[in-house]
Amino acid sequence: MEKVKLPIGPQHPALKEPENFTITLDGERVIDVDIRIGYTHRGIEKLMESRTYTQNLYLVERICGICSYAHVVNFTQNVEEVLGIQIPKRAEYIRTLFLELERLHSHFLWLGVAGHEIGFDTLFMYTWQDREIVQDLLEMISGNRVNYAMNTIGGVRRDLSEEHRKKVLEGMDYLEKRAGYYKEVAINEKTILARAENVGILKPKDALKLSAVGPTVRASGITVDIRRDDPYASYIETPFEVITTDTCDVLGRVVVRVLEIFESIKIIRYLMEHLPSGEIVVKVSRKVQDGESISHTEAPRGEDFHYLRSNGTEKPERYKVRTPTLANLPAVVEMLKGTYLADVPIIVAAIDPCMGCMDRVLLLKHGKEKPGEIIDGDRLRKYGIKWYAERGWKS
Amino acid sequence: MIKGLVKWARVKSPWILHMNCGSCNGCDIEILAALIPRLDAERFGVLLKGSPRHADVLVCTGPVTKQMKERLKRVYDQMPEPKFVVVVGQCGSSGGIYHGAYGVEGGIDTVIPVNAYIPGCPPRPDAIVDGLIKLLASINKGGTL
Amino acid sequence: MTTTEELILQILEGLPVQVKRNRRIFISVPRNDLIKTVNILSNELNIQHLSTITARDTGSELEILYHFLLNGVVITIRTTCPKEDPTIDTIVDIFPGAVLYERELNDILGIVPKGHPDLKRLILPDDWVGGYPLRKDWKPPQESEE
Repeated sequence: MEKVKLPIGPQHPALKEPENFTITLDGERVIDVDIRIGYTHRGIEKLMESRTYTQNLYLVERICGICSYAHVVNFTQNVEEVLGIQIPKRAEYIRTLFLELERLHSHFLWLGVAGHEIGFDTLFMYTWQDREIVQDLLEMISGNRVNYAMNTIGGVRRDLSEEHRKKVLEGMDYLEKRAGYYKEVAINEKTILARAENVGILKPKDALKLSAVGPTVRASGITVDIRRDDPYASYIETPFEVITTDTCDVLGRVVVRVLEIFESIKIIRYLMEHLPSGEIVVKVSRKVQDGESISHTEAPRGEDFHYLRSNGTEKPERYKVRTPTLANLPAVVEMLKGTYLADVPIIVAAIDPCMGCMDRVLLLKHGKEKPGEIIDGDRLRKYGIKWYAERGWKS
Repeated sequence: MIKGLVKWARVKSPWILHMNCGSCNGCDIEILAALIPRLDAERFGVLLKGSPRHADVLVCTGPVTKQMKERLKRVYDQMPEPKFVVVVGQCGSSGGIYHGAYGVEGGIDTVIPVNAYIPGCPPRPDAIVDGLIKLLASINKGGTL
Repeated sequence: MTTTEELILQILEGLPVQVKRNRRIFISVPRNDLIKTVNILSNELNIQHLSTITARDTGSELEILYHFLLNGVVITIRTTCPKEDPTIDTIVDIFPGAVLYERELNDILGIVPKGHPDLKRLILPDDWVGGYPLRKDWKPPQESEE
């Protein structure tokens, strides 16, 4: 069959500029994928070199609006390590609380987005409704729903009251019930099974070879989780399981995230029931001596890796951030090979890509002679839903 | 009379095109959160559309990254008149926290004309809906803000 | 020290290793020894995960750090290349996961990974003519008249 090249780019159909993905099709099957990103490249690493460590707290948070806290924990941990200070235990617990609340909001968000991709908009409405409980808790303690400004170098900036602690526990009871419902849906709902089972296969050896991270690899049976392997904040104390499945498909990635919700709830309950008293911050100097440090966290999407090189001033010499989505892009290419075009939206969505980088418009290239036809992500999503509907699966 | 009818239709249900011009996604998530049952912008007749050719209102987020600048211009050009642009968030308004970064142009208004700014980093969903309603009210009154 | 760390240090004996703290090991090698060292990590320690590649302009030269992960231990290979010859051997044949990280080095610092299968722009715009932003002597390009 005639080979067709599909460029997938950002925003609008009529544009010929560089695209996110160029997909080579043979009929309806994907043969190859080429990646081009950069649409949200702002130049943050360079900007960090001209701002103080305190100013950078607010910038680092905004690398991504969904895993923002994972980034700021890495940043403060890096600086604290070079300074050689230990933050108070209560501060560690509060940081861990926020890390897990962020995982909850992110996983609920993702379930909704995944539902939307396969035409299951009710799931989107329900999960985002439930997610609002997490947003309320985040706002109650930090003052903001997104970008919480909770950390400072040396600890956290706001404390938890007894009232807050109780409300967090109540929230967990509610969310646990809701997660139970989603677990049933994920395993039994025909729409999800049709679109997710055996779709987007990533074999364990490929997952490892391509250095992929997060739920994406845990769904291929790889037991890796930075919280357990290289514990930070309070994770050395909180009991939790590293969730894996071995189906290696999109369904596996759904199941891992749903089960991780239960683990996060478990961790949060432990934190709230064992919250130590004491200070929440230690004083630190503005200038950070010469040194370097590496910090990585298990963000909702996977390993988030930060490197700091300091030079004795108030500003970093060099700061490097590698977000989990970037680490998973080579694996996405691998997963897309051999699949149907109709499966592209859900496979890409299943790595839980940071939406900004993956704002999807697809450019479909039909061989060398014909000009590319660009279609937007929304149309491809509808194409996928229709394709499956024609084969008997209705949402 | 046709003008009045079209204006009425536009005010009753503006068709919105959402465009992320390099944002961290914080604002984009809150825009979507405005559509869920709790707030439900659809009650006010707001509908998210895919194509610029059918959109009345362009909702933008993000400091315009170099990669997105041309796209933003073209999407704006594709929209039929009368068209309105709403910026959600600090970095769309002025570059925000990314001001000075080599990868960004600055606020959305460095590239296309803007009718309304909804500040915040990110603004709450209720603030976003509030801003949209204010825009609708001003369209009803006769055009630009 | 964990058993993993003990094992790592055993295998790396003879190499210039620095243990910064628990679970942080650094090895400094000249760039000609990069592939040899990467192979040791891959073959003798069976490391498969490359977290990322960091690079920076030290002023006099370009320093490149390869961060690997094994059971929670971060092992970093540190090497350098001169600014007059900013090239390094690609490690993509040993670690396919390096494919995007090496493209990024090229974009922001002008470090050319020799032998990289598909070296194109990753994060900077295709029409970028502004040089290498993460170099210390980099100046923003003049804004053209619109």
